[in-house]
Amino acid sequence: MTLVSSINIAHQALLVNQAAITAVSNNISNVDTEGYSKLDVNLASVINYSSSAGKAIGRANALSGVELVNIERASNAYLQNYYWQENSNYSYLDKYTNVASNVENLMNELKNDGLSSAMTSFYKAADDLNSDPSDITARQSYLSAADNVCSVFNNIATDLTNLSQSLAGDPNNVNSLSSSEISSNVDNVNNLLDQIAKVNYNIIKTNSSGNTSSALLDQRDTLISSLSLLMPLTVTANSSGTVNISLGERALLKGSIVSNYLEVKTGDAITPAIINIVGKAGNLVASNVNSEITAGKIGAILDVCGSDVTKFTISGVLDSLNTLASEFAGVLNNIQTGDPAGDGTTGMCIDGASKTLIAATENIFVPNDGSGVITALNIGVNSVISNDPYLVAAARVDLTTGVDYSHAIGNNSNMTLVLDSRTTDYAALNNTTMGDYLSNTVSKVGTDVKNLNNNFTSQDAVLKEIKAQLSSATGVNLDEELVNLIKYQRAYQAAARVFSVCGDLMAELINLGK
Amino acid sequence: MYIRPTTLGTTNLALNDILSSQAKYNTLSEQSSSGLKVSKPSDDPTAAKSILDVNASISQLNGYLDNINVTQTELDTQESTLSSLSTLIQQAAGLATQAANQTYSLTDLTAMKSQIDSILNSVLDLANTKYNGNYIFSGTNTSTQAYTVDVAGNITYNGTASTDSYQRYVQISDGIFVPINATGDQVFGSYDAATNTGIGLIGTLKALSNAMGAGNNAGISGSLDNLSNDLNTALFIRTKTAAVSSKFEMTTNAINTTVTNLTSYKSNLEDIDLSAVLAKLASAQVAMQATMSTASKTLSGLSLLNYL
Repeated sequence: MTLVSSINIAHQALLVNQAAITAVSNNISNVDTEGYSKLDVNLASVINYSSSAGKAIGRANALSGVELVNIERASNAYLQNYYWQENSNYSYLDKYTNVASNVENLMNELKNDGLSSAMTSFYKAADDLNSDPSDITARQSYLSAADNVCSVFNNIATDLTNLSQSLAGDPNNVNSLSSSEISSNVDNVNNLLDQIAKVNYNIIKTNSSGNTSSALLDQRDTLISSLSLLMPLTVTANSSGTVNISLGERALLKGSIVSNYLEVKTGDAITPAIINIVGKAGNLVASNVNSEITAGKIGAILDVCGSDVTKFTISGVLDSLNTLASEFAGVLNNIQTGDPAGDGTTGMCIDGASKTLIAATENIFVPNDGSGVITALNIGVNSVISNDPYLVAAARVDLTTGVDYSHAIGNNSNMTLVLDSRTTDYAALNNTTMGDYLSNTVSKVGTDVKNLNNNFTSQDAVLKEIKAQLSSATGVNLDEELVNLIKYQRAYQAAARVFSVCGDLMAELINLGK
Repeated sequence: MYIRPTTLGTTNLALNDILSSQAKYNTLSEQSSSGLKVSKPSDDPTAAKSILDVNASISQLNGYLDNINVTQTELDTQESTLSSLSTLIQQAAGLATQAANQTYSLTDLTAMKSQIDSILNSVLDLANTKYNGNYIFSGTNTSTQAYTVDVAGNITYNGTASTDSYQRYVQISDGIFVPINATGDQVFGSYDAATNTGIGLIGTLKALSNAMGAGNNAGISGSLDNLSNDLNTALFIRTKTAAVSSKFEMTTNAINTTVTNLTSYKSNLEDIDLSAVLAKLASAQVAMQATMSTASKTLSGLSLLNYL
């Protein structure tokens, strides 16, 4: 044993404690950094086995002080994977609930400007026309009420369609896809894959040069967290410290190489956007993997814009509106120009010039885009009738009897059929009235949104819990770091003291030899 | 399970607590300011459906009330017209009785005849009564004058006949349409100058007038029976009108009761219990303040740094 070796041991201790303080300092400075994993300092005593053992002096010689084993990044692979998985589910429900609330707001019938109040005004106008069928003012207000019903249908349908198109593009317009949310999210996915690959590459590089890559690992985990917001992931670790990422069984990233990318293509009305997996060169690897993207923002967009009847979809709500619009138009058109009771009677309108009854030939409602089918988007009032309100068929007479009804402009039998349609159950509307069908649709949207809200709330709690656990395993506690700081500070001071004591002893020795 | 607290975790937890207590407070404060506990369907889907259904029912019922109110005035016009008609028929019957029971000179009878003719004119005026621009005794030919007299003396009914479809209907409740008009030919009849024959009240008055002009006593007394039949007809139609009126009145009462019930049902569904919400609001406020003060203590007060 030599004094010099004691000095060396103290020197070693000074260096090690300095390094430990650096780690603590790093932890303290990142106390508010999201995704930062704290660094743990691992120290060990060094024993020099080559020295002669057995004798007490020899044993003392074997002591070689402290060494810094490593500065380890705290991590918990299980919790981290669990976090990513639940993060995907959280993001899915977040987006889904958000869109569903939007839809609910667009057709909030509890406000006073909705479809049900437009229909109420329409039947009120029908009542007034029924009271005075030859009155031009009553006819005009009847038609403007009908027009109002059409515009409310049009507005809601347009808003819903726009919402769907802003999310997943318009199936009838390929160019609309690039400005859609799903397209920018897919771009994000590919971008993130590239970035993660780059970080993986840097991890390999720094690992081989023996440096700690904890900052890189933090960076990578943060990037994977961002990716998990967009889609479901399977993350597996490699021995080199890198990770592989796949979508289910389909590999997307292997270490530092992105093997496959996502691609989004315009689909059809049932599936407006289709996600494919393509290779680096753009070659198709797997087409339509929509059913595998069950979580994340992209999953939510695919589901809410899709046509799965078991889920809440925009198209489902639109379908209900279309059914209602087409039945409403169909029923009233049939009363206007047809023979709904099948008793051989004819709907009669008024010839404006001679003020005599003539058989009605013009429908009230027409599709305003020239297509054959009336939907919520295109329902409109026939301009021929709105230009000549006398063409509304308020009368209904039996022309086969030979009685001259040409002056019976006070006849309101057809308006009674219109008024009856309000309380009639229709097979196309699941055997309910138009009002019931509408309130059922609204209530269904409400139920779906409520369920989604509940799911979201519980998923939020799950994610918070995992986050707390993960943070508990890897996060920085300032008090703990302060304790460590003092610990290493004291150790440093003590080592310095040893150093000065040894220095004094050394001086004594030198004096001894004089 | 013991969870090792971390500084960032504690901060986030405190933030979450503050946000969620604020969200609770906001929901309650929104409810108390709007007075509604269901402002969008997802707040309570079942109640939302009921509210929509109740809204539809109430507006429908109010529509029926409007119909009844509008039609009631027309019925009143019809009833007062028929009441005037009865008076006129009684006047004619008085004159006829007078003429039949005493011996009058032809000059006196001619004077009486001119009175009958003037009664006939008044009857025709009543027959052409208009309500809201429409002839009420023309059946469904509402813009066509019910009775016209031509140069030959024909008194013609121009409305839809009581044998054809002539009725105008008003809806007073779900699926119930009430006919509200009577045709002119039912009440007043008509007269054909060429054959000198007539039917109904007009026919009777015309025959009476002719009999008086000719001093035909038998004809005069014969018309007495006819006048009494015509009076019965007028009374019968008037009773029918009154029956519709009283039906209206009953329906109005029933609808008013239903609307009151529905309104209070709707209020139960969508209105908040203000005192309960205000109490909850106060406790939410206390909770929020407590969360905030705890958070500020956790975040700033409790740190080893304060003791070093």
